[in-house]
Formats: sequence, structure tokens, C-alpha cells
Amino acid sequence: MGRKKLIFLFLVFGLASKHVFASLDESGLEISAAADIVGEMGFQDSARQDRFYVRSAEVLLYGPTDYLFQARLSLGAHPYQGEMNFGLHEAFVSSSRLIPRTRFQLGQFFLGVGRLNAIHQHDWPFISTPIVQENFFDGEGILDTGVQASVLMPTAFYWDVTLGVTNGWRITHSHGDLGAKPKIPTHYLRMEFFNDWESGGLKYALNYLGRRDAESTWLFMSGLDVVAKWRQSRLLKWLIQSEVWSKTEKPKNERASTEIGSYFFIQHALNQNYFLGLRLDVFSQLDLRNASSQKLTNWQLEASPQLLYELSEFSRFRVAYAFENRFEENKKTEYGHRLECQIVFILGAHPAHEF
Amino acid sequence: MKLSFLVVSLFLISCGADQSSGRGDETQNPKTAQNRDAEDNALPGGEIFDLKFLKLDDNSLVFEQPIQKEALFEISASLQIGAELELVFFSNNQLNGGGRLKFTRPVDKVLIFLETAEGIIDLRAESFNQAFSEMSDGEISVSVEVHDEEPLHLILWEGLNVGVSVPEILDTVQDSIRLSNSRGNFWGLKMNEVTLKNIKIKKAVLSHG
Repeated sequence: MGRKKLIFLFLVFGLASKHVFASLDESGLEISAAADIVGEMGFQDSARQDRFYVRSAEVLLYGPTDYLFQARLSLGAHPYQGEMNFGLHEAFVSSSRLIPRTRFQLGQFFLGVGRLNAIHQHDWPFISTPIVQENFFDGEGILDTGVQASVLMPTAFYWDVTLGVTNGWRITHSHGDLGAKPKIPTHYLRMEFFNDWESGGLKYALNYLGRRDAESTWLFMSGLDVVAKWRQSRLLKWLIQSEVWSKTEKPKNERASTEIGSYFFIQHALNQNYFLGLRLDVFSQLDLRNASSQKLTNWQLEASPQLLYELSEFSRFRVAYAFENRFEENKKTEYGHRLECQIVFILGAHPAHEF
Repeated sequence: MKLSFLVVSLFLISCGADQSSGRGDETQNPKTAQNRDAEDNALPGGEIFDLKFLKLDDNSLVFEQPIQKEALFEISASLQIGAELELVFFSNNQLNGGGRLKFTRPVDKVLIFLETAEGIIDLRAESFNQAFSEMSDGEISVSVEVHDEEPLHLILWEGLNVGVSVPEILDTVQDSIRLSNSRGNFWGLKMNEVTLKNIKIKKAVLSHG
């Protein structure tokens, strides 16, 4: 822990030193820091935090290493059991200049599947993690080390294909456990399409991820993600974002089990600074059975209206109210609601998202 | 053309998952399939402390209601000399696989064992010993929280009605103990010379937000 704190402090020093060492600007190095502070007040749900806390803090360095390659290094801190855990998030080198129409990256990164998985949590358009994201991507996202290549296909329409292979020793966010060598490493495919119109565009993609772990359990995930934007000059007037995912796990000599989940988010700009949004979540474990092997229908549903105040992309304030319900065999088994608020700030440069 | 491609791709992806997902395994030799169907062999059952269970054998019972992602178990029991009480979680419905926490009482003191990916560890022999009471009267009262993560995640308290502010004795993540992965959604008890005083399943107190 002490060593990790030292690395984090070193990077913070590096951030401050940028103003002292002018040559850093000439190299193209960009430095960014971001923090995501949330507050939760739960009702009828004693497991909620009921406090403000720093959900994440991140320092990001990125820029060209030379005329061919770019690199990114990000360190993040997350709370766990009342303590901040510092860790490496991303460390990879990338290039789009070696092979025509191809971008690749090597190192540790958030896997290029889905919409939310490839974006840092402080850049998400809502406060809480969607149920499907929490269950399938362990919260912020699946982080691993490997190689990923994206090819823009030579077609008249926009069609981008991403392929990746990573170690697969862990499929979830690390808590300091190395994991175990899988029988078949994590591999994934994403096919992305884009249609633009005068005031915005529509991006949609099919995703697949697979792995066979050390205990010979198969994992298959497939999903569809959609983002649609309508702009009025620079103002994002309407935003629609949704993902639908299916996850199947099959342990050796056991039945396969499948879960499905989805979120749908819509946001409308009231004016330049205020935005009203609504997110709907649904989740179900399709093969849930009791010990007598009788199937149990089950659903988790959540609705979260929210209000965003944004002065610029560098500071955001959100407040939301979430209503959650769990049903089993058509009976409500759990009900809760909570008030959430969030402050996000970004210092320094911030890499632009593609869409 | 894009729409046709999208439809074909979706079809291919879902077919690929189905072929390997093992749905065909439901017709395989039942000797290799660990999960039994109710139609094949109905097990005797009952109810204990408002929890329905099926009896696998004289010493083992699996609870009807599966656990989903996480749960907190509260267990109070009296162990005679020579007794054993094992909590099995995230196993299949035959209590195979998953995580296992065992209490035994060979003489006076209750011993506590945890099955890890590398073998069984004696929690009294490790550095946690000072945190456990002697339990020399054979009375145990523990709270065990489990999370279906990779690997499984277990947090152990001595005592009941714990909350986020109560320090735990053991956290397999913080204490770098590697459990196995989940094998199913079931949980149960294996008991020998044990008087179970109470058992409850509650919502986890340390949910990951």
C-alpha cells in the first residue's frame, strides 16, 4: 500500500511539475486528473452508504512517444472497506500509423466492448452503475492486459471491427488477486456502425466476449449498445444511450446459466446548463432454480430520474432518485429507494471521446 | 445490407453461445451431470427456522431458496465434542463445489477451517487466531457474508447483527486468501453432532456500489 501511495504521489508531483519543466509541453504530453464524488441516502435499504465519499480519483497521462506511437498511463484510487486503494488502471501503447485503417493497442486497458466498459466511470452520463453493468462488468469495467486491434472496413458505410485477446486470468476488477491462468484466454469482438445526420448521429454495435477459466467454466457474453445524439449547435439537445447484454456461464459438468440485463437512458437539455434524464434498468437470471430444480422467475427493475447541472465538460453536478424493485415468482421481494448526488471535476487536458 | 448483416451477426453469436453453453448437456449421462432433477429422484425435505430445505443425506441439507449475487448468513449452534458443522455456499444443488467454511470440535476448543483454491487452511493457526474467541463451550455465533465474485469472496464476523461499522475477523480479499469460483447458486449445511440454534439468510451489508 505504501509503495502504491508513493507512485500516486509521484504522479501528482509530475502533474504539478508540468509548469516547471517547459519541455514537457513540447513533447505533447497531456496530464489530466479527475475525481468522482458521490453521496447516497438510502431508504428501506440498510446496506446503502448513507454518506458522501470519493468513489474514484484518477490521474491520466497520455501523449505521443514518437512519430509512430502514442501511450497512456492512468492510475486510479477507489475506496474499499473505508480505505482508498490505489492501483494501475491503464498502461498501454497504441498506434494508428503502422497499418492503414487500423488502430491497435498493447498493454493494460479497459476492454473495447460495450459502451460503458470502454469509458471511465466519471464520464458516464449518470450517477449509479446500471444493474447489468454491475453484474456483468463488475462495476466500472473489465480491465485486462493484452492486445486489441480495430479496423475500419473498406466499405461505403461506417463499419469498424475490433478484435482483442487478453490474459483472462481475471474477468473482474482486481482486488489484488492475480487470478488463475485460464484454459482459453479472454477474447472479444465488436462490430460498430455509425450513421450521422445533420445535427448528430447514431452509433450502434454488436459485442461478443468469451473465455474458459482455470476451472473450465465457459463464459459467453453478447450485447448490443446504442448511442444517439441530437445537437443544436454545440448543445447536446437529446441523448439516448442503451445496452442489452446476455451472459452465459457453464461450469464443467453443470448446467449452463444465463442472465440478461439492459439499461435505457434518455436525457434532454432544458437549456445550456441544465439537463433532465431518466434511466431504466432491468435484469433477470433466466435459469434461476431452487434446490428442487423448479425454475424461479425473477426480475430486478430500477428507475432513476436525474437532473444534471453542467457548466462545462470539466465540472458536473448531478442529483438523482432511484426506485428499485425485485420480483420473484411475480411477488415483490425487495423494494428500496435512494437519493443520489454526484460531483465530477476534471483538471488539465481531457481526451475527447469519439462520439 | 447493414440490417441483414446485423441480423446474421446476431444469429451467429447466439448460435455460437448455445452450442457451447451446455444446453445439450441436459440430456447427457446423468452420472456425469452433478445437478439432479426433481423428476428423477425426489428428496425428502423440511423447514428449519422458516427456511425450506432438501435433505441430501443424514448429515447434509441444501436450502431450497438459491442465493443470487451475495448474502449474509447468521449461524448460532452448539457443537458437542467430536462435532462438525460446515457451511457450503455457491455450490451446485448437491453441495459440490463452491466455498466451504467448517467448524469442528475435536476436544474443547472449536477449530475453524476454510477451504481455499490451494487447500484447507486452519484459521486458528493463522494470524486471525487472536481475533477469535476460544469457543471452548462449543457455542458458536458467527456472521458470514459471501459474494459471487471471481474468486468467491467471504467476510467473517464473530457475533450477529453486524453492520458496516463492525470490524470483521476475516476478509478473504483483504487477507489475500484465494477461494474457488462459484459452481452454482445453492447453499447448505453439513452437520454432525450439532444442535442448530438459529440460522438466517439476510441481505449483504458490504455490497459493492
